[in-house]
Amino acid sequence: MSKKLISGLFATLFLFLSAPLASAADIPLLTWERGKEQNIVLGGYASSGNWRIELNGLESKPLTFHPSSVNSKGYLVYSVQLPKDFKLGSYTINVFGGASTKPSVVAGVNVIGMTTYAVTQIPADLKFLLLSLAFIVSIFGVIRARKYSVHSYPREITLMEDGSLVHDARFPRSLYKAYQIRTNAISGLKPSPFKFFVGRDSRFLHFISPVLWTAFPGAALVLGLAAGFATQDRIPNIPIYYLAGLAVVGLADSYSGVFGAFGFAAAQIMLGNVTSLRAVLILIAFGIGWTLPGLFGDLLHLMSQRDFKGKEIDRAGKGITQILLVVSALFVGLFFYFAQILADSLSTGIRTHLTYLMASAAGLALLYIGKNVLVSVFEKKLINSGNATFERFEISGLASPTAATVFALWTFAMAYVWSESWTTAVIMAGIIAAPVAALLVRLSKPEIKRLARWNRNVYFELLIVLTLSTGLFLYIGKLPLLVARKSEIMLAIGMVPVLLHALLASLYDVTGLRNMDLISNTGEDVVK
Amino acid sequence: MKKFSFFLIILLLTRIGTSFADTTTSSQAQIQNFFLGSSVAKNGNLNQVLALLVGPQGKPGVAGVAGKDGFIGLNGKDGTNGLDGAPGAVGPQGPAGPAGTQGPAGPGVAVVELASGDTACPAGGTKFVTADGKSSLACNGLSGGSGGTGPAGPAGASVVSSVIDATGGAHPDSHCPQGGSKFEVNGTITYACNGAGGSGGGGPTEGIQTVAACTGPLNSDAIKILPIGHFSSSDKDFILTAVTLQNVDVKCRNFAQTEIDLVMDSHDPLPSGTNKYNPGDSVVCQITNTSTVGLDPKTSLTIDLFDAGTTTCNIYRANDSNTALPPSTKYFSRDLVSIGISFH
Repeated sequence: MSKKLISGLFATLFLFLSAPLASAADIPLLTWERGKEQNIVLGGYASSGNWRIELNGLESKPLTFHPSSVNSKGYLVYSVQLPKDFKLGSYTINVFGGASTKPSVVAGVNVIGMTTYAVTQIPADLKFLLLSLAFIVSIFGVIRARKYSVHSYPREITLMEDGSLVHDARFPRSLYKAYQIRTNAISGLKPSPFKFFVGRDSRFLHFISPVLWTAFPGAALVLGLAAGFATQDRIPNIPIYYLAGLAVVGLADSYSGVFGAFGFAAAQIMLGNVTSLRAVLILIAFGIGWTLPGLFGDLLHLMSQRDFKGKEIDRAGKGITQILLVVSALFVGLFFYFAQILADSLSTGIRTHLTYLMASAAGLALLYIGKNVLVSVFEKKLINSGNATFERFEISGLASPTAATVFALWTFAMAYVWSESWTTAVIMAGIIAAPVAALLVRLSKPEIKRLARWNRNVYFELLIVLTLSTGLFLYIGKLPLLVARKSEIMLAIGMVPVLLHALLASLYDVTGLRNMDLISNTGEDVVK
Repeated sequence: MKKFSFFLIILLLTRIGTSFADTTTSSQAQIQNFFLGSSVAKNGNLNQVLALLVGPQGKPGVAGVAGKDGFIGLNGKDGTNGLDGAPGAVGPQGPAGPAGTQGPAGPGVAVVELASGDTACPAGGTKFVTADGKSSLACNGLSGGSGGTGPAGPAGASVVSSVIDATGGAHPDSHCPQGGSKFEVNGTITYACNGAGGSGGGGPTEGIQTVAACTGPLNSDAIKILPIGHFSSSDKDFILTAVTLQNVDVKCRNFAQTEIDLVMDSHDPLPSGTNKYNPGDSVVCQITNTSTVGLDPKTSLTIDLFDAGTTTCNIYRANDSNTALPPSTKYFSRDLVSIGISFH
């Protein structure tokens, strides 16, 4: 009797223990990577009920999925962005709504770490990249305005120009050739905004020491080689001290930054890590981050000074100038950060030192402020010494066909690597390259008189473009589509506000041309 | 820079070409690898999209069988009290109440006598302190200033004076045998007779002295010194008994001691029982000043030379001013040459 009783108790126990197992076997088990957006499609009679979907775990707060709009067939897409530091483990998807008051467990989810980086599955990064691109490309639309076209700066008369190179005892004989090469390398470039800004930027080191100015590219090349060999195949995880060091080198002297990027690329090629277009694009992205932040900051600083010239600067004195410098420095840091995220988006590897990266960007912004303060001090001393000559540059030809073609190809390749779709890549390259291509020509008509009253302001115009782009991204984010498809649409049409701005800028240019005619006829400066 | 770029491009194309020429992969994969690299193999089992279909709303089920009647419920709890009623109308005024009982005795008052020089009452007074700590003062008034000059008196009666000749010859005047003057006012006759010839002098009678430490610079501020003496019938001479100082400022009295210095002449022979004092000797007498509280600004001070309770006198020789000798029992007025005063 007792044996029967014990057997009966065990049978009852196993009956209850097996019940949850049977239930778990009825729902699907998914594997999701954290850091990416995940989707659930709700179809059928989904639009008739007020459904709420949550991702629940034992040791974390529930994540709520956000519904999209309803498509024509009554489907919705619920989306959630799993944070990059989301706790790994098992979760359940609970659905609330309908006639039942209790949630229904519809699936189990195993959350794992990110295995491959795909920017089309991380909308936040994609939006940041596209907004950054919109910002940069829109500047081309602004800079064509007449009031930004003429620039000049004082520089030291070089040791070659005054013939003192071989007579200066402080200058080592071994560096004569290097000094000549560097001098000729910049002066030999065709007149272009790039040449103007690189020449302006390289004054800083020449002010400090012509010897340092001569040797710096070589040192940058060595540092780049060391960074490339130290990185091995762990791109984008370049050791932070090399990454930040090359950024500082590029900020101090963008010409040397190019050599640092060359060194890094050479090391990576020699290691056999560059065997695809993707890898080349990654190298270019890093090169941009080490070369252009300082030049980009200088461009913004000069343009914004033109915007406020004769207005606030006269009244508020140096206050406005300093604010403009700080704002430019902020964008220097953001530009560096953009280049790193661009490299991440092209790579399949996952960056592990984002915090250090942000700190490096902030440090770079502060260094930019310090560099500009020192340069302004050097400029005053130079002008007082009488050893100065002024470089003047007028942006007459806004872009060369080669530059526009390279930019279009680079955009196309980048968009293809992101989306792996030829169509998307062509559309995006076409839209982004259009503003640059528009710089090739100056229209002579139609002339819209209202545009003549447009007082150009670089920050104001960029703010409007970014606001429109953000609104467009929010709208696309609400579409009832999967994340990859929404990303393709963002890539394809997210730059439409940039295109509209470029179109307006071209039309304004017609007015600018008429004003130029007035200048030549009357001799009066009527350009706003 | 161009050469370096060219070198890099050659190196790069070599690497990419090597990868592209790999014959182990299909041409489709080669193109894929050329653009995207070989490390992009997608794992189809990751990031699956969950699709859920919501079914139509089910039809309502049939009505269930009516259940049995339930148990009778328990009594409910008492309700809460109702709200208070509205206040009534104001009643008529009541009659006057009875007289109240006598109140308790008030708190005592402490009386504190205040000495002169108190900060609240410079001339002294009384301080009253009640039980609850409150205080009040009744201060003595300060000395008033001197009064004004009085009105001129009435004109006096006319006086008829006549000289009485001392050389009256055989009939000297009965009232003034040595001569003198006669004054008659309204029938009343008074005489001022010349005295008989005297012998010897009386010494200094009175004088004034200023003390820089406590008197003013004017003569009216000076201290008036009056030697006091009496006629001794046994010695047939005037004996100096005391010195009175008049018009002494209170500030002088604030010093601890008052000292007089009597410079004497010889008196030979001195009567028995007296200490001899020689010409030029000084009799120095000191008294201890009493409190000046309540004194008038200008007071009188009498130094009794023979009051051993208040005065200490010593004789100092002219040639030995540091040795104090016992005082004498008598000082003859005519021996007094000068008096000096000082305050210590």
